[in-house]
Amino acid sequence: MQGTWGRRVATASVALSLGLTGAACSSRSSPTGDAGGQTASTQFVIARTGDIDLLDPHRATAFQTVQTLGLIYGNLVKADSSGKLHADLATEWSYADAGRTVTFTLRQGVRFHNGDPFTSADVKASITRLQDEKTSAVARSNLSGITGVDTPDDHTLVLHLKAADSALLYALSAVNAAVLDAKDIAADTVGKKPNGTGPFSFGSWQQNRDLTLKASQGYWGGAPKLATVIFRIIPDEPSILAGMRAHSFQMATISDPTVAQQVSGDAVTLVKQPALSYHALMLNGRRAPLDKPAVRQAIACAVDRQQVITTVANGDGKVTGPITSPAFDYSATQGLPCTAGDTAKAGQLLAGAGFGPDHPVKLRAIVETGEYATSVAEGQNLQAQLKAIGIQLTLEQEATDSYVKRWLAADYDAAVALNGGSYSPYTMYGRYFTTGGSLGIPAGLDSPDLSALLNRANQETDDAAQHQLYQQVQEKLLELSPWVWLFRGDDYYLLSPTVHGFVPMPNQSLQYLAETSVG
Amino acid sequence: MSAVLEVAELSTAILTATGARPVVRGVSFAVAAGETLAIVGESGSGKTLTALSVMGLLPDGARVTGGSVRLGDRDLLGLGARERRAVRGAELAMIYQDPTTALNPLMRVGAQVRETLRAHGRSAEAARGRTLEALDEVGLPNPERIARAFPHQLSGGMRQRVVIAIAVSTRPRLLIADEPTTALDVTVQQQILALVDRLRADHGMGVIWITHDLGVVARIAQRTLVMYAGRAVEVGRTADLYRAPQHPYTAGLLGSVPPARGTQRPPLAQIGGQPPDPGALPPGCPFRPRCPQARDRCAATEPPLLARPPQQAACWVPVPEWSRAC
Amino acid sequence: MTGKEIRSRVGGTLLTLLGVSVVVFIVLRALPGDAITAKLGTESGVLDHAQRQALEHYYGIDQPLLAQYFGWLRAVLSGNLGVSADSGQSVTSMLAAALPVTVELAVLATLLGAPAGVFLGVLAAARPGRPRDIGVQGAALLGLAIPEFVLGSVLVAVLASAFGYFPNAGAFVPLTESVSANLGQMIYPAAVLAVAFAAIVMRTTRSAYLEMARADFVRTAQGKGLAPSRVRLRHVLHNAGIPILTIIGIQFGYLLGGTVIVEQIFALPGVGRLLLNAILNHDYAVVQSTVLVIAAIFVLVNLVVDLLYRVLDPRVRIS
Repeated sequence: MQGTWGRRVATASVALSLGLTGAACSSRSSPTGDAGGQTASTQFVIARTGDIDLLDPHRATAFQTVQTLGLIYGNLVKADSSGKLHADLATEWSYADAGRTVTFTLRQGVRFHNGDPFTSADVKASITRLQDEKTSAVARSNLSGITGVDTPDDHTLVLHLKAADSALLYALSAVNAAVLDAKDIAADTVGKKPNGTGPFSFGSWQQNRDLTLKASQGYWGGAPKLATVIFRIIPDEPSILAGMRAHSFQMATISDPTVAQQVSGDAVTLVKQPALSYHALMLNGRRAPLDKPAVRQAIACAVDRQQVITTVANGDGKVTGPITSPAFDYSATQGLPCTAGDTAKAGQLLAGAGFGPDHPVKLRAIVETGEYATSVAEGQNLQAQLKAIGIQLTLEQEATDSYVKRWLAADYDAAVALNGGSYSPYTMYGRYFTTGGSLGIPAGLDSPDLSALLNRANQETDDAAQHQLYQQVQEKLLELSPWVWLFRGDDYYLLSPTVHGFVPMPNQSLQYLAETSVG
Repeated sequence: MSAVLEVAELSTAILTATGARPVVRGVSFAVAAGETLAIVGESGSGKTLTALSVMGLLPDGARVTGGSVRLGDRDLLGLGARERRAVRGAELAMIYQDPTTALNPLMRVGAQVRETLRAHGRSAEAARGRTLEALDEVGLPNPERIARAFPHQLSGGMRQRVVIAIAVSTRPRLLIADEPTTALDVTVQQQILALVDRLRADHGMGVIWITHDLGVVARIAQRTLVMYAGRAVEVGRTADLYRAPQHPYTAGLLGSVPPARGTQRPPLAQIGGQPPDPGALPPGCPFRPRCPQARDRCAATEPPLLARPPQQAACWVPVPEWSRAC
Repeated sequence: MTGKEIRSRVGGTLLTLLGVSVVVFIVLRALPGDAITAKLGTESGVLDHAQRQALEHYYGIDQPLLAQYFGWLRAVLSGNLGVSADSGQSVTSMLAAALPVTVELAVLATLLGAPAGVFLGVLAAARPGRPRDIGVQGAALLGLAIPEFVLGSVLVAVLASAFGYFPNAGAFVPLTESVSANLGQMIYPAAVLAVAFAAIVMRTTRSAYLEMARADFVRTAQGKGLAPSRVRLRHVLHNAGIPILTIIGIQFGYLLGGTVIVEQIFALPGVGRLLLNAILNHDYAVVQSTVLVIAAIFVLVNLVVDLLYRVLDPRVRIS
């Protein structure tokens, strides 16, 4: 989840700023930079609203923490912008035994930032740590399929799995399954001084102010062109925009569409990137009348998703179905029993279930406030759209903590949600829709068919076949409509025109900073 | 003796939303050096406002509308603000009724005396010396200690002495005392009266003593001015007034029995009715509604101060024509 | 102050602080959610029982409430304010960094706002009802009505658009490093805070002044022929000092805890942000210890104000 309190302040103050910043000429350049020894071409300042919270990648959940630690640490494999996995610390991998054994060839000549050589022992120690309850690692459940780890030599690693598990490889590519130095684990210094194999090494951290990373000269992929990267905390998004205009920062990440809308002129370049996370209206299919599939389908049919995007995010977003990974790019609506936005069909479905203008469907939906910018607007737009087919949607706004509590218990008829996405569809939906999944309650639906389909897809080792299976999963999800999938919002990156080579990622990773240059 | 203060036809009005209400209407009097003039009247008669007009301390909303106030050879009303301030406190001083509130509670007493002296050109050292002198003159024991005290550390009588010290420290030519003993107990009253009288005699200071207490008047005032409804209705030597009042109001105040020394009279009880509202004066003599001697002529025109030897009185009806009814 | 007064003062302070600690503790625990939901949000549903227990143990929230409270209290009394649950940083070091920023901001805002407020208040009260008075009061109303975040955001936007300047772009420079750089970063947020400060002080000054101006001793002072400025300052204003000093003290105390919005907009690493983030993250040790420290400072400020009363008004001395 993203967002900070700063968002509320930003939203409130934006209206005033709109008038002034729109009117005033923004291309007045005056050289402001930071004082300090670095020359402008090698120092790179990134402004963002929140700070990281800890330094242990295995416990990292906040997206800033994941983003930052992702530059310091490496994994066996990493995803690229197309969502496919490629080599990182492992140069090759192969399957055996129907996918139950995976053998990795590890890269040679890699060193941790403190000089320690990287070997298979480090991977094994990292995985052991991940699986240890005491670590409280969030990735633990994703790696529960690993039954054993062998290290035949320093540069070979063998994983034994309960069953074929393609999601597992994606899990290994996540920052919170990063490879740590075995010596650090033994000395218990992991959360104190970060030491990884990534393109940047840890410089210093002043909480809530600055975090400094330095280019790792010995990085196996070639030393980054940026000598220093500084993350500066500017809690207020309009202030970030002002700072970009004043050439105080080279880059910034923001998430409020209304602030993004104000970017104009030559001083700042706005780059939009659809995120992996998705906005959805989750329905509680275990409560009447949503236990009737026709009612859920009616809602899924009635909602014009593009209208939601235009209304709440100034059109910055992409209509999406359940699976958001770019490697599995399916039609967003194929599988629905209608065309999206077909209110007539929606009306028919409702009538068939015994509902209509004189017997309306009444639903109470929870909406989270203060976490991300568009939640309430989404709720209100859905409310208006559903009114047209005679569904009364009452919104109950909740602060984050109470929202989470109700969400986990499915204490709602519907929930306006922003759920995290990932490159692996199984990681995204296994926990909801497989039997015994950890998030089965908010899933709001039990479907043994869907469960079986998901598991089969995950265990499929052939890429083409797997692609087919996940397509079926997508269409099944749309058909059953346990939720109404709306859109993927855009992440916004503000760049100074002098920045070259930066590529944004759907999972908000900043890994392309390794190839970024200024000048 | 030369006149220290000459007031001629002084008129003052209070400006309200509905117009100007005259509260002092053409008052004239003079005070000689070394002389005490008592101004007597009920509350609302305009005596305090007359004093404030002379001092130039009228509150916001009140303004002098006519007449002249000559101190020595200068008409104070014609002076600019700065010149007026130079006169005030130096040549002209005023003391008030309540000594408790008349002093700045956060300033030492000596500093408050010194302040006047410094404001009127004395050097720091001269001011300090003169302060102690003044405190001594008003009868305060141990002036150095008193000078360092704050007002709340002194008794009521001592505070009033300090107020007097402030007023006389610059040896003003005229001192206006607005009921300065009303808030004090009887013994202290006598002391203060004696003090002011002595200062007058010692320094040839003119004194205007405003009061409603006829006992005080008898004790210290050489001449008396009686005011009613913003006008002087009788003026003359105190002894003459007491012996033979020429205006029914004065007669009413005094009653038929001459007052013994030091006795306080409640004069209002002897005259029925209320003093008039300055904004709604009846035509003719304002005292007419309460006057036992009223004639038809009184309802038509307001009488000016007429010669009624040895004093002057604003009454159409000379004493020989008065009926005995009271 | 007498020994008895000192003892009762200290006793009262300790009692107050104890009360504050209990209230904060209870309120924090009463808030829905905990550090785990704050960190993970809906993802916390993924944790199995053993994982959840491990996390609760890590955050120290698996202990019974009384044990948590007394454990923390005992630590505080021995000088250990606790440790941030996530970063592991000691609360003492966090406060040592953040407190000076907020205190400096409050002091600057007071230095800018208080004299301006007193000056404007006397200006208005010296001629009540006239255009000057109405103008000052109107300006004060505007200053009070415009919220800090609007004022701050507009200021930032104007500085950036018209002057190409963002005052807080660089790393925060503490006062000890460079006075000029630090002031360059602090002056704008302090000015924003000073606006409302001056407006409130102006109103109190004006009404206190008007009331004092009617006092008898003012008439005495005028009767002495003193210059009007001396009457206004030494007599009227000095006596109006107590309510003015009171409001300045209150406003300063309020600033110590209430600068979070300005800290957000101008990216200042002060106590306001520290506290806000800690509350959102359910970082109990940080919140409890920080609030306690702020309460102690507030008490100290009150003490200073009380002492100043005695300097201002000698009557208070002798009570």
